[in-house]
Amino acid sequence: MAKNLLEIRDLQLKFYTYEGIVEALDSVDLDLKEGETLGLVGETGCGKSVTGLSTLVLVPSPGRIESGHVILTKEEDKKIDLLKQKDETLMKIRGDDMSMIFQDPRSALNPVYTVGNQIAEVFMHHRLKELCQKALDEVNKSIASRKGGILTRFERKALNKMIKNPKSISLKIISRIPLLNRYKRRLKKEVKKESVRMLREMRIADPERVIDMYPHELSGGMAQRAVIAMGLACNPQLLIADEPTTNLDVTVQLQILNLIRELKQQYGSSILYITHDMGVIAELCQRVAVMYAGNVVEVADVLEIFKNPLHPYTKALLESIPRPGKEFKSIEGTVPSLINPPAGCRFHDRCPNAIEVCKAVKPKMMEVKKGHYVQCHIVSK
Amino acid sequence: MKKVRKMGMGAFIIRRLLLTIPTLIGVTLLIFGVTQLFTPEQRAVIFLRQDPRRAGAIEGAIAKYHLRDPIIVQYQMWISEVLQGNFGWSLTANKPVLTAILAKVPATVEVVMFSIPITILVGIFLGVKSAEHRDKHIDHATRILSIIGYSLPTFWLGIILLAIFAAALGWFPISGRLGAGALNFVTSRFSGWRTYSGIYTIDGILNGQLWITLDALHHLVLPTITLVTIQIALIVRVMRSSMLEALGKGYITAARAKGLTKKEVINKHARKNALIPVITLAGLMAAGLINGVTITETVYNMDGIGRWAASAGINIDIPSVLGFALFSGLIYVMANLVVDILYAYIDPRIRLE
Amino acid sequence: MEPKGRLKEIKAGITPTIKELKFTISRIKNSPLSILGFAIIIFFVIIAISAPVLAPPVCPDPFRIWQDEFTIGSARPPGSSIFIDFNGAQALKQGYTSHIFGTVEGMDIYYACIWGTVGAFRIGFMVVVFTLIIGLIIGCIAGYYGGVIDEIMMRFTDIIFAFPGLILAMALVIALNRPWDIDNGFLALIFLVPAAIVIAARYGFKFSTLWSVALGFFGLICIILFRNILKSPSLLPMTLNLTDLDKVLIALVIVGWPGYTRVIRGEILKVKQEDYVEAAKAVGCSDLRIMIRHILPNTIYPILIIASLDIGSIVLLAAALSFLGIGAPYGYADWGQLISFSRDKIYAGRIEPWKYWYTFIIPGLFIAVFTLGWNLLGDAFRDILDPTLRRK
Repeated sequence: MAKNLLEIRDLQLKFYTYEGIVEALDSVDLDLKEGETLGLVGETGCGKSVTGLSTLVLVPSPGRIESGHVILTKEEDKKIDLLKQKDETLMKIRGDDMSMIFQDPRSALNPVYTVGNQIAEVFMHHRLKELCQKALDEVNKSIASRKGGILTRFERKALNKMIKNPKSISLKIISRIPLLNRYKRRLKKEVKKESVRMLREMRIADPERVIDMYPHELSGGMAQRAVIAMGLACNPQLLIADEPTTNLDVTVQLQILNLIRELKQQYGSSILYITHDMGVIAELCQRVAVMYAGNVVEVADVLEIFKNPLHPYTKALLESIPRPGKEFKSIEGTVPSLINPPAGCRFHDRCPNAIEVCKAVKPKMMEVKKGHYVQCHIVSK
Repeated sequence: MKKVRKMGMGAFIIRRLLLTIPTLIGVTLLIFGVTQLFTPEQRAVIFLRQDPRRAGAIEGAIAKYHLRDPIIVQYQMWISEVLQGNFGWSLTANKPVLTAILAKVPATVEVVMFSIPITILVGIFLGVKSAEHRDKHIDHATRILSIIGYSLPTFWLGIILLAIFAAALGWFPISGRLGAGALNFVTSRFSGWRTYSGIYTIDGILNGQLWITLDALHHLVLPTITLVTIQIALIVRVMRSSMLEALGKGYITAARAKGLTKKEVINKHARKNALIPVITLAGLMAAGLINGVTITETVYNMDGIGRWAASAGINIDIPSVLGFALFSGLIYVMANLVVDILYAYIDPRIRLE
Repeated sequence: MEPKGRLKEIKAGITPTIKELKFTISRIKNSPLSILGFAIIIFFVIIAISAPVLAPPVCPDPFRIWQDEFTIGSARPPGSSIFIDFNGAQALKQGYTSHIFGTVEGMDIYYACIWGTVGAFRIGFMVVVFTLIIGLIIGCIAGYYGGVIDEIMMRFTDIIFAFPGLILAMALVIALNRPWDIDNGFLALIFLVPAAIVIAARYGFKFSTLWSVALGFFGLICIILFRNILKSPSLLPMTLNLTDLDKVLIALVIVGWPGYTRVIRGEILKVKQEDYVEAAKAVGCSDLRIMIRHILPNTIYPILIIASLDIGSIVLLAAALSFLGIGAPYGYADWGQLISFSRDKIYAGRIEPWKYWYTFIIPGLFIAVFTLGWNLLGDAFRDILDPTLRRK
């Protein structure tokens, strides 16, 4: 059986606002296996986006993670609880072991910097040593073929220093002096090569041209490819995709979905795919987790979920997908306010089969069939 | 590749330069409009190259420059005179207006050339820090100081600084650009002093007389503080609020998700975006600077164009005031041109306009 | 509908408004700086209203300060008593016998400060009201109709913006230095120009930028020519004798309206795109109705914010002008003028510069705190009313 790459246990998240304390996530439990694509589906406001952000410990204020564990399994089965890590460790992990792609590519890209600049950031931050080494190899080649002079030898010294101690003060001083900081140009050339390579892998036709463009010059699809490039640059173990196709045209959606599928094969990353679209889930995911009002209510394989949904919410959700010839069904009622959430099961006031205990006691997640978990009193009986 | 990026810039600069021409014409029209509110006798003084109190000078001017003729003719005459450099005779300075301006500009430039970098650097730095540590002590302190800062009248601040640091403590001189000894040295014919730019701090270095430079700096401290305080207060406010706005945007979360350090996120991503409204403000503040310079020079008794304009105003010296108005209009238009170019350099979306 | 149902309906309609109002008030209460701002303004309002009581005027024009000829050129410290022999009449009229803040140039500082407050409110409000009206009209027309009209007006605005306020104010004060005859040309300017603009807008000419700028200048020149022709005789014989302060007022208004125009135009451009404006047009609302009922209420907030910040800066600018000697006539109760007297005292009192502290500290405090109050108020409005900042 595949190992768990990510384990979220008992995650509690609260937003402290003027109107009251919003209990956004209520004991969320989630497992992501190595190499799989897990879909996280639910309607707007159910907490799926914020679950993704919590995994990277990037929850914006006034949100606060109250309790819980987010356990990442790194190489050699080393498990670390991300919620207990210091900032420096987290910054090394973000972008390198885990990364995220976003819903609106235009707002995820900084409008005043070129696309190339922003992809380069990821490389410069996480792959500095390798890139310096590559630049160093180039310099050595130049020196060996007698093309270099004193300055080139100085570049070699500078690059060596950078490999050993990138934060040294002497480097900081040298990097400001015009002739002496030529080593930076070599480094930038290497970085650019890598960035162009990334864009090419995103199936962008003319990466050399796109690299120097600004975000507002790109179409939605191109911009999203750039964002995906940033996410996959360092070959992360886990990619969190927060509704990456929602803001795109339908035809572009299909292209991006295909791209993600191909890239997953190529890079072997695990994906946590957050969406509200059951169709995308069917296309892309192996397992599905359904969220409602801050709880994970059902987890199962994708085929199982579609064939045999157990939780009343999941059933209602699947029934409400419009199909030609079928009568249009919707779910009665509205999502409860999370400021004073109802006690017991949060779905009870909309559930057609609710019983007494549903109002009072919150159901526990039970494995009803192999690999099929449900959080419901009726089903677990 | 850099050429491709900058190409948008070149066309933009040319377009902006062309746009300044109608604005400059409009400025002259405005000033000309103001002159039409005067009697022909008063207007005559604007054209004279010598002292208007000589006999027959005014009548002669009225005849020569067709001051009773239709407006179009008058405008033509006036513009041609202006373009030749004849702005009229300044009663307060006892020389032609243009000569007076050129003689007094170095003093003003000297004050301004220290104020602008200080304002920009300190203002931006404090604004960023204030936003970074939102709602903590440094933020509260900066906000309170900045709101007090731009509620202060410039002249009051100047007087208080004078009273405390110059008169009471004696740390700084009360008025002027140089002390008596330095002034003698600079104006005497036997000291070997050569005036290169009229700016004492620079000329001191060029002449090898560093003590003159130090003396000039000593005299500049209080005026610079007076000018700079209010500008910094304004910049800090705008920088802080635009930083806070930038920090709420999607690309900040994306940058953090890439694993960038907080310092990088703030200084690289947020700050450049936050600078955009501040640059717009800087253009407007060029006007505030001219206002402030006028008052500062008056309070500190420095012989620059600001003080000259103020005394011209009190003495109803029309050509001087109008000449100053033309000059400041020109400066303001140039300053806005620079600001627009900076704006386009930072924000690539503007280059398409 | 039965009364109960109707009541429910009204309640349902008002509830969100009341909720927002409560939120606004709680935000005001929670921000000490806003409370301070309100408090300062209320303090000054009370002073201004009770000025005739606090400092009963001696001369017929309450703004004229009674000057003691014997002490011109010197300053007397706070607490010194008003001479009974020569100023007895004054002391009796005013009801107090000692100078609370001292005197400078023979004038009672306390009196000058109190009536200076009234003057500050007067100039502040009048300038802001006029600039607001002009800015609203021009901004609305420019923003709403767009095209040629917008271009011309914005160019005009930019040109005036190209001027440092102090300098233009100085030039205008000098220029308006003689009695002003209202002639036909001026009347034509006042009535025909707006009419021409509205008519042109109604029929929606659309030219390219270059042509519109050329047209604009051409039009301006025609108007000025026209004015010259109409110079005499006048239809409405009226000569305006402008006092110095009126000149400052006019100058400040002319310098200040571009600020409002730009902001209002910006807001209108934003709102113009909204669907409800399209809907109103589709229903057949006249342009004016759309502007007043739909667009204006949305632009109120930024206007309020700018207006309160502006009152502060107008007063500062007016004080600066008085300090330089342009503006209020000698002996007028004006904060800036008081400080201009104190300047010599500092230079002279080298050995004891603080001997005359009351001559500049007290009036200066009045100016600074007054401006501070309005600035805090403007900030408070911004934090409280701006919908994008409210929930942070």
